[in-house]
Amino acid sequence: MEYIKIKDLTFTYSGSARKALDNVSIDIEKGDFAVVCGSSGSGKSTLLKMFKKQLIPKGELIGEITIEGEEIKHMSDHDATRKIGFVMQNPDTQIVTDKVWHELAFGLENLGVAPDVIRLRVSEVSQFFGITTWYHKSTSELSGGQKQLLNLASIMAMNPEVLLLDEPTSQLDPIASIEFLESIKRINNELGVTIIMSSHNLEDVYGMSNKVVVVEDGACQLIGSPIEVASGMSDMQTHPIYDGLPTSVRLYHGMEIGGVCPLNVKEAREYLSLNIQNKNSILMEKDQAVPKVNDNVIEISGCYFRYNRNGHDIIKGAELRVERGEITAILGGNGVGKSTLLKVIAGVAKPYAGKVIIEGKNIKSYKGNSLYRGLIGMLPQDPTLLFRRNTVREEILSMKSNMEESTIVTDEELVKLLNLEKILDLHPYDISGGEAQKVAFAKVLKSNPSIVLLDEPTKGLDPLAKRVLADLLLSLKSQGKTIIIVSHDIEFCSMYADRCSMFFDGGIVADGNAREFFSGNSYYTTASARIAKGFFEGVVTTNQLIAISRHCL
Amino acid sequence: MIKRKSKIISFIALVALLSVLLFGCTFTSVDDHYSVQLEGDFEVSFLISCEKVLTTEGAFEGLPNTLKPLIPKDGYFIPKVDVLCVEGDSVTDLLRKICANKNISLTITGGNYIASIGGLSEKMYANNLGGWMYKVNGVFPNKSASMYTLVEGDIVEWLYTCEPGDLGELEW
Amino acid sequence: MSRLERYHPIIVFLYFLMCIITVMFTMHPVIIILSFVISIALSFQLEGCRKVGKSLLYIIPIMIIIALTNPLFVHDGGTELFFMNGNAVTLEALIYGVMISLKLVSIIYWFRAYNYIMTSDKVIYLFGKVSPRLSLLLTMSLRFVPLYARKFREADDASRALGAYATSNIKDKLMAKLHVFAIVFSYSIESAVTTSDSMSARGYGMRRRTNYHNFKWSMSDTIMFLFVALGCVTLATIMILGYSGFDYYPYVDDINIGVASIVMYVSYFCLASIGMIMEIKEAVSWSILRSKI
Repeated sequence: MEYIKIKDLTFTYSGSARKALDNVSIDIEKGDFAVVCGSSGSGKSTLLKMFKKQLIPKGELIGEITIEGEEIKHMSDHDATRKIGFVMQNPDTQIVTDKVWHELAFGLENLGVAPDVIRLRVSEVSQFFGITTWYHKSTSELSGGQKQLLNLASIMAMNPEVLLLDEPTSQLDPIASIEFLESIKRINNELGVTIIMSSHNLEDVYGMSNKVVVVEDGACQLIGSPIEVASGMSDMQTHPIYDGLPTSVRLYHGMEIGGVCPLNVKEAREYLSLNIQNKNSILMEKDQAVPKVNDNVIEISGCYFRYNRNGHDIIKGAELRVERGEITAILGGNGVGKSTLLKVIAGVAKPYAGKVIIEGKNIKSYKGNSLYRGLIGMLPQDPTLLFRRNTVREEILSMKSNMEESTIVTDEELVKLLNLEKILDLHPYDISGGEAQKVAFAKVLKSNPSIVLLDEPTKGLDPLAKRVLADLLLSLKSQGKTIIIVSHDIEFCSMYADRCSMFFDGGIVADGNAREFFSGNSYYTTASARIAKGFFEGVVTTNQLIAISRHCL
Repeated sequence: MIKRKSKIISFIALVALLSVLLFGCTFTSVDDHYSVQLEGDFEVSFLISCEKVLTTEGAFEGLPNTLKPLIPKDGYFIPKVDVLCVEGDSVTDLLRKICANKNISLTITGGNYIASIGGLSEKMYANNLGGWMYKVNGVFPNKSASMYTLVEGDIVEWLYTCEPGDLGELEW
Repeated sequence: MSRLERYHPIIVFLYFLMCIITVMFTMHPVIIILSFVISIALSFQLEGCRKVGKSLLYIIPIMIIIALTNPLFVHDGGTELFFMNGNAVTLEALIYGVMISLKLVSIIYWFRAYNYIMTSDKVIYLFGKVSPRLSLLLTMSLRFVPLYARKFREADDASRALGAYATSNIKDKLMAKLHVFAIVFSYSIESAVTTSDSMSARGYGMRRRTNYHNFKWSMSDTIMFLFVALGCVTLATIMILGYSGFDYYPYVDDINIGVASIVMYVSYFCLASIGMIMEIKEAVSWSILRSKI
C-alpha cells in the first residue's frame, strides 16, 4: 500500500469560483523525495497546505489525503502536529522566539514535552544540522540561510515522518540554497523522512529527487521519476516552468539525440563527452561586443561607508563606473554589501569619504527633489515595503507623475505596459510576489527615472515572471534608460546584463562585459558554463550551449 | 558633528537659564540675617510654645535624636515677651523679625506656610502629624498668618500641635 | 563571563532584589555609601573600566545637580550657611542631598549590573515559572522589536529612494515618516498571519506548554542561597529593630557603632559584595590553576 495517497483531491477557496486544486491524485511511497513544480498560482502551495490540518485554508474540500491509511482530517492534534512538518517560504516570518535554542525547543514545548527530554532532542538536532556554533545567538543576528536552517531544525526536533516544504529556497542566495537542499537530502537519506517539496528553481533539486510532479491550473499534468518527467517535458518547451528545469535537461532536449537524460552538471558533462564529435575545446565565436563608449552616467570613486561609528566599513574604497543605456549587474555573495552600494548610488546611504558623481555632478549637489524626479528610481528588495493603501489602483495613483516627457505618459498606459489591469482592485497584499514587484515598479517608473536601480529583483520569482521582468528591462533599455541590478542570480544576469561587476570585500574586484565575465570564471558562473568547461569556450547561457552542442554533433 | 553642536547649545541655554533664576534671588549671609532690630510703633505680646511635645505621650521620644537637646525644657522657644511692631506687619512678618532677632531658625514654605520653628518642623510627631498653629487674643483666626494684620495690644501665640484637637482648635 | 552569571536565575534575582531593596528603604549613610561603592565596583568588574568610567563621567554632573537641589528647597537644618530669599540654606540639607544622590546613583548601578547579568533567557525563565504563556509573550516581543525596527529602516530607505524626503518642507518630511510607519504596520500585521500559521503548525495552543530552559540547580546555588538568606534575615531583623534609621535634621546624627549596628554594616557589606567576592575567588583559582601548568 502506498504510504501517502492523495485521492481525487479538489479544493476551492471560499469566495472563489475557480478550483485551486482539480481532482488531484498522487501516490507517494515512504522515503520518497518528491518535488512539486508549477508556476505561480498553479496550486502547488495549496496542495502542500492540504497536508497540515492547521494550515488548510477556508474553502470547500472534496477528496482525501491518507497517510498509512489514516485520513489527515481524522488525525489527532498531536499526530497532526508531530508527524507532519511544514517549512514555509519566508525565513523571517516563521521564527517566533528571540534565541536560537528557544526556537529549536518551541515545537516540543507546545507538545508538552518534559524539559529534560527537550534538552536531549534539541542537542541532537543541533549537532545534526551543525547549529552548535550559533546555538546561543539571537535570531535577529542570523543570515537568511541560517534562519531557514533553524526553521528546518526546529521542525525536525519533533521527529516528523513527512516533511513538507513550500518553496523553501526562493528567498535564499545560491550558496545558502544549496546548503539547505543538502540538509534536506541528508534528512531523506539518513532518517528516511518522506519529503514533499515545491519549487520553481529545479537546477539543484531535480537531481536529488526521485519523484517529480508537475502541477498547472490546479491539476496534475505529469508525475513520474525525474527522467520520465524530463522526457515528458521535451515537447513542452513553452510551458511556464520549462525554463526552471535544470540546464542539463534543457540541453538534452535541445540536442534531440536521445539517450539517458542527464539530471545535473556532472551527468551533463558525461553526456557531452559521449556525444560530441570534436572533443577539443572549440572557440565560440564572439559576437560583436558593444564597444565601451566611456559615457559614464555614474561614477563612484574612493567611497567608504559604514552604518555606525563603531562598526566596520561595509564599503571600502569602492570604484565603479556605469555606462549610459546599459544593463549593469553587480554580483556577489550574500550580505557583503551590494545592496548598500546601490543605496549609496541612490543617495540613501551617505558615504563618509569618497565621491559619487551622477550625470557629471556630485550627488550632494542635487538639491530638493531633483535627484528623484527624472533621474534615479530604486526598486527595493521587498516591494511590499512601498505599500500602504488599500488597492493597487490607489497605490499607483498616489505616486506623483513625472512622465510628461516620457514615452508612456498616462497611468493607463503604464498599467497596460506592466499588465496590471486584472489586479487593479485587489489589495496590494493579496497579489503574488511577481505582481507586487510590478506594482512597485509602476510606482518607480512614474517618476520617470533615467537610471533605474533594482535590488535583487529576481528573488522569489518563477521562471515566467523572470521572463516578464527581463522583457520589461529590455524595453526600458531601448528607451535609453540605464539599469543597474544587484543580484545573486547568476543565470538571469548572464542572459540579460551587458556588463557585470563582482562586489567583494568592500569593493568592486572584477568588471567586464557579461560574456567575458562569466566565461572567465570557474566557480562564480552559470551551470551552462560549468557544463561547457573543457569542451567549449565562451559559453555562458543555455541557448549558447545548446546551439554549439548541436553544431558539434 | 551636528550632535555635538546641539549639545553645546543646550548647555549654554541651561547656564543662561540658571543665571537668570539666580539673579532673581536675594542672598544674605548668616550674620546679616540674624542682625535684625526690633523696632516699631506699638507693642504686642508674643510667645512660641512647643509644650504639647513634652506633654503628649511618646511625642518627645519620637523626635530625631539631634533635635531632642534643642527642645527647651520648659516648652517655650520664646516665653511671653512684649515686642515692638511696625504698622501693617502681619503675624508672619513679626514672627520672622523675632526669630531673626532671637537666633531661632525658621522655615517658611510657599511664601506663607510656617513649616518649622527652632528646628521643630511639621509632621515630626509619629512622622505624620504635628504642625505649627497660631492664636491671636485667645482664638484661632481662620486665615493665613501672613494675612492677619496686627494691632496694638494683640497677644500672639505660636503653638505646636501633636494630635488633632489637642490645642482645642476644633471646639467652636 | 563572570561567576555571577552562572548562577541559577532565581538566586541572581534574589541577590539583586535584596541589595536594591535594602538601600531603597534606608537613609543610613553607612549603608548608602557601601551600596554606592560596591554597586559601582561590581559594574566595573562586569563591564570593564572604560565603559563604566565613561558613564560615571555623565552621571557626576547629575549627581551634583541632585545634591544641590535639596538645600535649595529644604530649609530644615541647624547649620545655616547663608540665606536665600529669606530661607536658610543649611549644611544638613546639603549632606542629605548628597546622600540622596548617592542612593539614587547606587540604585542605578545596581540595576545596570542586574541588566548585564539577567539576560533575556533568564528573565524568560523567571516569567515562565509564573506562566509559560507570559514568558512566550516576552520572548516574542524580544524577537519582533529588532525585526520591526529593521523593517522600518528598510522601508524608510525605500521611501527615501522614491524621493519622499527630498522636500525642504518639514511637515512633508514628518508625513513621510508617518507613512513609513503605516507601511511597517501593515507589514507587521500581514507577516503576523504567517507567523501564527508557523506557530499553529507546530502545535501551539494544543495543550498547556512546558517551558524549556537551560538552567540546572547545583550545589553552589544552594550554598549561595543559604548565604543570601542568612544575610537577608540578619539584615532584616536589625533593620526592623530600628537600627537603619538615621536623622539628618536639625543636626546630623552620630553614626552608631554599637554591636547591632556593626553587625548590620558588616552583613550588608558581605551581602552586597558577594558577587565581587565570587569573581575574585574565581580569578584567583584560575591563576593558581594556570601556574600549575
